[in-house]
Amino acid sequence: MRRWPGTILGEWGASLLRAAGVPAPVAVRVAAVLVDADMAGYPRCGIVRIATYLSAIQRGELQASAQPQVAGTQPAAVIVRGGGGFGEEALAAAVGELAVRAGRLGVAAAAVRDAYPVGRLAPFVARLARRGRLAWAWTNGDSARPRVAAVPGGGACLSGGALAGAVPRGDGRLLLLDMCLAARPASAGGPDGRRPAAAWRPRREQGSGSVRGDRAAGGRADRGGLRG
Amino acid sequence: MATELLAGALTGAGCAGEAGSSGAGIFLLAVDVARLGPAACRQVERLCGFVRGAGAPAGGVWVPGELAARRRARQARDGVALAPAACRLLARWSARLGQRVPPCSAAPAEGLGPGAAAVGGSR
Repeated sequence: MRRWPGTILGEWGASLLRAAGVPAPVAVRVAAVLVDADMAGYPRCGIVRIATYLSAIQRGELQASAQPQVAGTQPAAVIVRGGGGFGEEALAAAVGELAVRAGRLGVAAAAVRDAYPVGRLAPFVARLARRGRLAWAWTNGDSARPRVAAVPGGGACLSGGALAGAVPRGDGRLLLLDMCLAARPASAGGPDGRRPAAAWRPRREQGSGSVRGDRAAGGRADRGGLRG
Repeated sequence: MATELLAGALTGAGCAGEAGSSGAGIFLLAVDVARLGPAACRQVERLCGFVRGAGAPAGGVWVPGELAARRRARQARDGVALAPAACRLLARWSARLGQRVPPCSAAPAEGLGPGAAAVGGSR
């Protein structure tokens, strides 16, 4: 297994994004979020996603220079439109709004849409928790490619996705729940050899988990469940 | 279902099975803990201690976030490990985009220790 210092890995990822037309500050921020996933032990959501993003940019599915727009604000609610750009950027914009609004009103909610999917939500709820906010976030996946079965052995009917929650602890640390709702095909086990719980496994012929992507990432974080 | 409802329906991004939906909505909720009284954070810490004190067959109990923090500290010390397939994929993109692959270090991977159990089935 080859290893890089996190800063070097981040610079590598950012250089690839910049070369594909992503503005430098955005490239640095997105790469940092991905490296954080690698460092926390979730390589499927890590720097390998750069390849997914580069492919999406080439296909025109991800707008490299899109800026998230805050729209439709109410005192305790905000809508962020990603403009087809990075979900990480749209989420960061939403987090900034929520931190202020929740501080002012006690509670606030945000809806983010029209952004390219993110792999992991934990870094963003953690940002809110570090500012004294209890925070939860949910994202669904690609609705055209259901990945999760509703019943054991049933067909895939839910799109998967992720959820995360963060709560400030009394000692300054965070209670950080980080869950992946995407199930791997039943034939694939986890890194520890355990198979995913039956209820999360779609029938094999309907399962559409990204086996190729999973393998490239080292095969972790692919069945539903708490990440740690 | 809850995730589909919150992230898909509530955000307007659309849910599974909805024709023309792009999916991938995100719903966030934030509560100012200070508004709930000074005891809230202490209660969280007390609960973490109580759960940890319940014990496990071997290796202790990790509450959510602790395993990731431990991995992060280890990878900050030893370097971030990338699977060979991920390295190849990024190297191919580097070549295609005319970017240099940075040199790596090669520290051995280490386990997290035997028998540690995480609350809720964490990896």
